[in-house]
Amino acid sequence: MKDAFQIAWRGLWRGKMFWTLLAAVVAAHFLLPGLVRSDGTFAGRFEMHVRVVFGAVTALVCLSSLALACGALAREREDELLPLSLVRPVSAFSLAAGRWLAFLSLAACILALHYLLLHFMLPSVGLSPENCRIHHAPALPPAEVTAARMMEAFLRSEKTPEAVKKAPRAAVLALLTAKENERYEVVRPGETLRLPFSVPADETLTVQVRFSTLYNIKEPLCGVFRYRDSEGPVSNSTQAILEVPLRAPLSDSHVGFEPLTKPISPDLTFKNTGRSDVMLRPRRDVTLLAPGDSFAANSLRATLEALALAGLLAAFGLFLSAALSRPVALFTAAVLMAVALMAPDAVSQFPDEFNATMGEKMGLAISRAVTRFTAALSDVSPVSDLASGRAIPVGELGRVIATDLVAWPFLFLSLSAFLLRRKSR
Amino acid sequence: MAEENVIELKGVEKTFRDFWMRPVAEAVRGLDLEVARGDVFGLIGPNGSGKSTTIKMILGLIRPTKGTVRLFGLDPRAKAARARLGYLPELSHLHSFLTAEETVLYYAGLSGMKRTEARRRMLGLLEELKLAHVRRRTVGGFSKGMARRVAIAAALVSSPELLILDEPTSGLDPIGTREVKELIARLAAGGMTVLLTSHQLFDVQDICNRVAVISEGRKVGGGVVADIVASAQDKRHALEEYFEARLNLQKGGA
Repeated sequence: MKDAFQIAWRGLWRGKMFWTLLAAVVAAHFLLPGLVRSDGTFAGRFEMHVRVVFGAVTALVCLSSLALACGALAREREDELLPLSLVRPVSAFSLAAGRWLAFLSLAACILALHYLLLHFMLPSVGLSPENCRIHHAPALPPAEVTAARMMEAFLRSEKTPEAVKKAPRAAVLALLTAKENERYEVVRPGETLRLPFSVPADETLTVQVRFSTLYNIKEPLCGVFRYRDSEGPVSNSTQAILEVPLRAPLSDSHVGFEPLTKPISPDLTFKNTGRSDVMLRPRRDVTLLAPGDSFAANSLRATLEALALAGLLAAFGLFLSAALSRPVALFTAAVLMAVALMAPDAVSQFPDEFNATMGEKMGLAISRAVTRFTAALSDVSPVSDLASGRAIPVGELGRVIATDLVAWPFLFLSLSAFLLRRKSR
Repeated sequence: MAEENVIELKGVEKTFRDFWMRPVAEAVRGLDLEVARGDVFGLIGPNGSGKSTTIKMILGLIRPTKGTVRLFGLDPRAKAARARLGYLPELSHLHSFLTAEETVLYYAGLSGMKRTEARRRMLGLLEELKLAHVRRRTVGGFSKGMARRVAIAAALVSSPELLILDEPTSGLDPIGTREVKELIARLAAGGMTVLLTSHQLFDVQDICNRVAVISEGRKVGGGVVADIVASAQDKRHALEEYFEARLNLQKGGA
């Protein structure tokens, strides 16, 4: 494996790929903030440096890993170099794995440079990033479970149209899951909404929330959040993303809210003290934010997630490279990437599957299959996590490394080794 | 199988099939072959006779459809068998971005050699093959003959017991050809078993002590080169005459 690694690394080094990519990272840091204008606020400039630059670097690393890997084994097979290696007492797996490690090392070098530049650039432009925050979602049962219960009730109901009863269960379930994810709760004036959360008791919390109205128009809103023994008033307009810090109440006679009573509920409550109905989606619009650790630590975790993603794509590229010729592997990778990027939107935004044409249904089925496959492969968003200040949990990072950097690459490299043996004939 | 036979093929057949598993070509049909330790064995035959397929089966790159192939008494895919093998393909495909010494060290590494031993052996081989002065140049800029010599060094670096050479003098000028023939003779004198294919029957007659003639996937002749030469009228073209006679006999028989 060491020799295969060295040879691939020398190829990258002497093929000028290494220096080209490093130059591209430096250019992204120094040129992109000048090319893409921010709104001039702290948040805007921070967004520029983190989302745009880190996004560009992550895209560069992932695409270059995929493209380089797509060419690696295919080129060696086309140049008839593989039999020379395969007749040695070395496994085809170690030949593929050595090359994968070389591409991973290249990605690691690029991301390490980016990490250093990011921490050099931010203070130099007067940005001192705040600590990240841990995002807690409501402790609701999974949307699929709720949707399955709804489906059973639907199928039992006499009011359900026969067409729906005869429809494929998976399609109905997917539709109901999407609906459950987008389900709105309406809080009328004077009413209280309860949402279960499980957050450690000693945390200082902030509610991040986005209210809507029935016709999506902006209206003034007024209310009070309460969680355990702290509360936070909110008075703003709907549609905006609001952050409401929760603090111990100044007195028990807070306007419009009942005094604190024992036992303290484990639910986050929102009491609408305004005069308009407000709506929010429990699974989308409410998050409890707890203090996380430093930006440096979080950006390191995000960088490692990006590296894991690059490793996964490199392994997939090697698999394509072992199976197909170089141009076909590159074309296949490009098409799969495009479909994988578009499929989630196609699935979530398709209006009504039951009134779809046959062609639309086929497209939706493909999009759904691709979404399911790519979600199983990798479900990380290091760029948006870092830009939004969401602390990436260590457990999530561990899971990403275990799947994207160990399990899937092992599978893809094993398949590559199998194909190398077959194709060397 | 006795260890005396380094290579042993018994009733080997190879049929290539298309995607739908329909037979496309019968490359090898019932081939029996034995190469004893210390032999310099020439596998000769016209184009498309099944020589390359036979070599690929011996190398473990493809499996026979029928029959058995044994290398040092083992399955050719066994690491223990491959560790004792050196291979020079017909065309010297090399990684163009590597230097001559890196190329040889790479294949030494794949053969499991220790770094210091590999380096010592590499320097000796490049010296012997008159490549020492260009050992730090990338092989992408080498002439065909120089690249061929680098490939030979790569095949020999692990000091194999069996050397399989596919057209070893292909692309070499007359001096290079003579040097390679001398090298093979030296290796054989040192006890190395050599299996080679070539269309240059003069070279085969000079180098080999035994030959097998293959045509249309079958063995149509073979024997000890000295005996063939002894029974020939034109000693200089003995193997060529024998080769033509065996092919004509097969055509007549068919």
